[in-house]
Amino acid sequence: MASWTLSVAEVRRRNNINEFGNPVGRPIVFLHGFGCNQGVWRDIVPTFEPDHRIVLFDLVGAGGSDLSAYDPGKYDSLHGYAEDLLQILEALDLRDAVIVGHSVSSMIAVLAANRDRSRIGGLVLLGPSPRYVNDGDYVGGFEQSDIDGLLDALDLNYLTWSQQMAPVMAGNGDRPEVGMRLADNFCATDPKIASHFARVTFLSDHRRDLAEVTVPTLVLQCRDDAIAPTEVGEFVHRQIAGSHFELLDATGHCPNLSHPAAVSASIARFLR
Amino acid sequence: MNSNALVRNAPCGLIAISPDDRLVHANSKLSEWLGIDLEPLMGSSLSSILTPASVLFYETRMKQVLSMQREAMEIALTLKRGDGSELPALVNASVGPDGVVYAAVFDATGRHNFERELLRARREAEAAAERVRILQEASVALSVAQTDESVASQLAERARTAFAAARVVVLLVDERGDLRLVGGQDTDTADTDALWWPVDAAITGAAPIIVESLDEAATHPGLAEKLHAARLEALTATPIAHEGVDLGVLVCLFARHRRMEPEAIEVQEALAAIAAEVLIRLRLQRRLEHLAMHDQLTGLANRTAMFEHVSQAMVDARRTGRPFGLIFVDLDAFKRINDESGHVSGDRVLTEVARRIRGAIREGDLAGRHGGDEFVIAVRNVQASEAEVVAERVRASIAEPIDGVGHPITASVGVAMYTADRWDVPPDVLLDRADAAMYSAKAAGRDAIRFG
Repeated sequence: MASWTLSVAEVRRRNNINEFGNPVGRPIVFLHGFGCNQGVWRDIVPTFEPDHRIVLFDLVGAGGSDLSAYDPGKYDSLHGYAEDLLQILEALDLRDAVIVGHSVSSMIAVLAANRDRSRIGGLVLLGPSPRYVNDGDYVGGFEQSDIDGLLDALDLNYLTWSQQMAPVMAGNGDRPEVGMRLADNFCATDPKIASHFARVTFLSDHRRDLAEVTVPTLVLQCRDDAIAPTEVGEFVHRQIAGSHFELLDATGHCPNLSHPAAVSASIARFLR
Repeated sequence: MNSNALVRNAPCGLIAISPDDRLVHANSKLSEWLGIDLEPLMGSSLSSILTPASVLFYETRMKQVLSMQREAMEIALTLKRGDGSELPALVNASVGPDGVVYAAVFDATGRHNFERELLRARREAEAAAERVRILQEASVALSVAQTDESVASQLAERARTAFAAARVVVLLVDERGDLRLVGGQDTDTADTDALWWPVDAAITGAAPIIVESLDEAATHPGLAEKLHAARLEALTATPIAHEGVDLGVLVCLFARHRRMEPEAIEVQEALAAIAAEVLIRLRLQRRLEHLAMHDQLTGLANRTAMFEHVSQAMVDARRTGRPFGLIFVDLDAFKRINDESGHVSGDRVLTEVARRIRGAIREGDLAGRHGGDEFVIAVRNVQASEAEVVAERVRASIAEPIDGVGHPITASVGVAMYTADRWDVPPDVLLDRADAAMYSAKAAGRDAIRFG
């Protein structure tokens, strides 16, 4: 496939790759979830800067990624994003990398590890859900009509968004070196892409991929996560043999933003 | 009056949400709107007052925006009333220094229906415009296609973009009636038997085959496993046919389970129909070209085609410095067959001779019917000795008895070499020399080869 011939510089540009931390440390690659961009890791990064090579990037279609690279066919499933992740690992020549995926990106990390684990040393799945829509005995937390409602909300809100999403950056004054580099295009998004990504995120079903995971895996679950309920996190844990499960002292679906210290501490324990 | 009165009586709902997504305060106006006493709900999660769709939206989108940008304006959310009905609202929210989200909720019932209607109308209009655009663009792109391969790859590319398919393959029925992969992204699974099932089913039926999920695929043995191994979950296989003639199949492969909307299937069928028309036109065009360049009785190249071929062979010979040979074949006593057995027998002999000549020449050589019982063969990249070998094979093959023909058929064969000393000789002069050599062979007693 032609996309495998992208140069390192092209991969960097396509995914707006930013690197921090210790260039010779064990690499950690952070993947943001639906609805935002790599900036969601701003409060997590500092903990790992001294000892780790940190790679942040934007999924194609999000943040500062190359929107012209958004091939609807490729990104009609999480496999397209997983392919990109593997390219990034190769382009940056990362070895024994720990992949931290938030929300939908935890499944992207799973798919990448299942496809080629040669550069992946561990997975941290933050608020994972292999399927959001209920299916028989399986409780994903939502009905198809809820997802349709989300798609409506996205469309209804996109006009106001486009006005709001001017690159405003606040509340990051104490860490300008991270903030400055991540300030552009915060959470801005193309409405068509957002709608398609929502469909791919919330209508995919990757339950059967979990059992194929063979790398060390940490499942990080929040209490009271309305998007990925604890039962789902436990399901993921049960399906991935040998995985660790940790219930964070945090609530909501974005503990990386609301409870960064707890998230960082759990990841740090996993790394040890 | 005090600020409490303002909070209580303002014509909007006011709500405070803790950093860990708990309701911490709400004014009485919101309780009134929702028809529930919100006080007991303090400390519970947002999902107690938001619809699931709005919880999804708030948690995955709005919260991250708030965290990054500290405020979000005019966000459309839907609240749940005590009686189960919904309250469409517009929400302004900002994050206080304490990390608490302060939000003002405005009743948007009035514009809700209007906006939904607008959204529905816009989506329908956009979808319709998109369908027209896909078909128009495909129509333009396909109309200039000059080969089946180009039709197939254009069709595949258009379909892949239009339906956001992970891969698209186009299979066409070739001249021999076999189905072969012509266009689209090749897939490592394309040659697996199970994956051909929907293709076979599509080619034999009029309607598209639709497999929306791995569960659906499970009804056919092996298909789900093959799809999963190829990281695929769904597919459509749409027949490409024209007035009952099966031309091929358009196969769209999807990497996640998909609901196939009837409109999308209609567009696939329309794309397949456009491709079918172009394929039929190309078939006709090929047929006409063949007729224009070939002798109808024997299927060999006709005089026009032969002249073009020989002219080009001369150019190539001069460029490469490698000679070529022109062989002139004339059947001996052919007139007698026509006179004694009639034209039908004569035609049968000519057809059989043409078949034998084709079998006697090498790949890359070209045989033509010059007219009547005369044949011409261009033998490229040869020295005289090699041309003679070919000429001898031709002579010998013609001399073999032909079933149902009473007396033996033989041929007189003349060969003219196009060599460096003849670079300035034009095609018709070379032909004359081969013709003259053939007459020498006739004069020498027929069934012989002479060089000129």
